[in-house]
Amino acid sequence: MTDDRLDNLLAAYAAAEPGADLRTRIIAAAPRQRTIGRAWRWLAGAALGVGLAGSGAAGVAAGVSLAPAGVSHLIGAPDGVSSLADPAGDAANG
Amino acid sequence: MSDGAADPDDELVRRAGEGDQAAVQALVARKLRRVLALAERMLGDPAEAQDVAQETFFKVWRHAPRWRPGVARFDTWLHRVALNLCYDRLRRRRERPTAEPPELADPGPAPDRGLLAADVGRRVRAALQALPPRQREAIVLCHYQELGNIEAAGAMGVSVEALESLLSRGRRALRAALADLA
Repeated sequence: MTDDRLDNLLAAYAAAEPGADLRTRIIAAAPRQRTIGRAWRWLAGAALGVGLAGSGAAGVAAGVSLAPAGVSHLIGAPDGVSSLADPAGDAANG
Repeated sequence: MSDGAADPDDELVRRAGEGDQAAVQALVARKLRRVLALAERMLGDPAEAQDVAQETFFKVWRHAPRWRPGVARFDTWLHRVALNLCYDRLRRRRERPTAEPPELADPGPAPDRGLLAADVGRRVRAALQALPPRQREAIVLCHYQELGNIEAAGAMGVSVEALESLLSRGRRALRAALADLA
């Protein structure tokens, strides 16, 4: 028997095609992306950011309220008055 | 990898390991038919072949998250995994001699030239199952899976010379078993 004839005979043994059930079982067992974990991590990060921002703002407010008068003046001077004292003006007004 | 060329499966395996479902489906589409065909020709039993194919992919999913490109060709590794599972089942058959062997075709009287392809297929299946497992493995990897000699030898864990010896003896035995179909 020639090699070609043997090869032709071997080709007559066709293997079965995979069925849908087998494919489904295999795909169902595959790794999944951890989307729930990622969502929680996003929320945790966002919450931390908001918390830090809030803490920062609170810190600034506390600092302003505790600051000496001169500094407070610089930070929150009333409308119409320059934040810098005008020695000539102060002297003229007595 | 021996030839230095990029492994076409590396990217799919990496993405499948990360849970990319599109990559999972693509990998199954690319490899399942080949794995099932390998198992069926090694075991001669379609039901056992399905079990082996399923277990092979379960192992792929377990290893995919840690798959490192460049260490081995994925296709060679996949063949090795499937073959090991086939050999496990062949060993279990030998250990349970009272178990019914898979149904094999009755060769019957000498056929005439009008033999249907399905009948020839059954004869070839019976002849393959009658081969020693290592010869059968060599024939299946080189002829049916179309692996090159180097890759087939790698999957079998033997030298190319040993593979060629197994192929030669296997083909000789098949010629003898199918001589009436020449």
